[in-house]
Amino acid sequence: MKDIIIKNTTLKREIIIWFIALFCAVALNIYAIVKYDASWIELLTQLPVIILLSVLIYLLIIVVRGIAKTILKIVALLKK
Amino acid sequence: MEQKELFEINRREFLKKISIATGSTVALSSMPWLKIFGEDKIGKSAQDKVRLGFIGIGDRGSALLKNVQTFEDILNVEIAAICDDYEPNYQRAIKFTNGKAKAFYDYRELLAIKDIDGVVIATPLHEHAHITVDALHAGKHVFCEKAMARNLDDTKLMYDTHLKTNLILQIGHQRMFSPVYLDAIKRIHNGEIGQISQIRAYWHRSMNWRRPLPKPELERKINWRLYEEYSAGLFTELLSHQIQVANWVNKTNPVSVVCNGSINFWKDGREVYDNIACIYEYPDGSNLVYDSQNCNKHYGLEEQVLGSKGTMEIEINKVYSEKPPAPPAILHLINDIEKDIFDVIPIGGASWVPETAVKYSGDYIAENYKMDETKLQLEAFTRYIREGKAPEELSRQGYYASVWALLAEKAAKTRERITFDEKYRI
Repeated sequence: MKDIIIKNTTLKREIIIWFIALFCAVALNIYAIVKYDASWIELLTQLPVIILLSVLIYLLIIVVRGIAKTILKIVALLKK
Repeated sequence: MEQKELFEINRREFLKKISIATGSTVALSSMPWLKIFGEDKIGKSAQDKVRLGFIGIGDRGSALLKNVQTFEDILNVEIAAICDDYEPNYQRAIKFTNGKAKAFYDYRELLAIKDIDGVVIATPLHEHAHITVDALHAGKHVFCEKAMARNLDDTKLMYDTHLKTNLILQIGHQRMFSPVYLDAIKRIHNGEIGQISQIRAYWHRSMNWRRPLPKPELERKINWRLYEEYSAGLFTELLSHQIQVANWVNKTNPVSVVCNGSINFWKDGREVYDNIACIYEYPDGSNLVYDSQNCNKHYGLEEQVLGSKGTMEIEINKVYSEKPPAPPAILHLINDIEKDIFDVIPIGGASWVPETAVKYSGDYIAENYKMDETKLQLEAFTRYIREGKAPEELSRQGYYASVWALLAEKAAKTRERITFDEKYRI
């Protein structure tokens, strides 16, 4: 079986992207709390939802990155 | 776990519950029949024993008897005699009591036993009145299954005899001892669901109400619920429970009733309706909208108490606020975004949106519990006997529930709005 090697730089990059996703999710929660006049305690009580949301955003980013990568590859091929 | 231990656990749980239900003196004064559970004076001597006789050991009578057997030793109660004029029931009762209780075919012989303190009557409805009256005159306290009697005069006679003899007359409205109902009614009376504008109650079953007959000539004896001479059918068998709840919720009795009834599905020679729909009006203008039928069980039974601030569905132990608690803001936001993306925008369609029921699962009225209200009401009966008296409100609730069940039957028969006849006021 072939070993899959994840480079440190790759891991770091993915963690940073997930942190960005987490930041977006927290920002959305803050926006929602302000919009619906909810209690600030939801910043803590809704943490599981926020983490789940951050994973969803992260997965969405992977999809977008995949599409972007494919387009770039097609463009490169066409240029050749 | 031993029965005694289990009984004590259940009892402690119940006392905890009723301390919730009777947390204030106001609540306790509106449910005085619960005070007895606070008393713990149960003498263990033979002199202190409460001796009961059971008259009528059909399905319900058997259930009552078995309930009492669960606390016979614990509460120093003895099932001293049983009576049924139907041979299979008579034999069954002897078997249940292992032949220890004296057995009779004629209730008058049972009533003649001097040391019987109280009787539990679970005969067909038309027999309640004369047996109860005879029992009270014989000096026995009476627990009688609902409804009280087949007609208004007999109902009044039962109540008057109870007053005259100063003996207990308890009617089998077990919801008055249910922790869920006690908690629900306390909260309704405390204004938790606001002003009550309507109670909707129903009892739907899918069955023909017939019992198998060993011989055709026993039809009227076994299937007494289907014949007007013996029963008012859905009115006295089912509605009587729910009108009691409605009167309890409203802390008063109706002023009028209108009702429709028909034999709509079971056209099998029965005389009582298999389909009824009534509206009771209360003094404050609120209504009890009631229906019952025997060919569809989808909705089962329920009492829905509709208030300006909330709704209670007491049978399923649920309370719903008119303003459900808001979901967490983040979920609210996601929902709104989802709606904006996926909801269909009507173009040139109807602008009216149907006001379908709010999807909201509500909260439980009372926590889960393992107590049987039938057992609790019988336990209360034995405790009242030991005290020699029971709160009058207990008998009054039973009386007015029976009267208003019979008045609904009258409304259905006459197709008129029926008001209360003052000669039946107590």
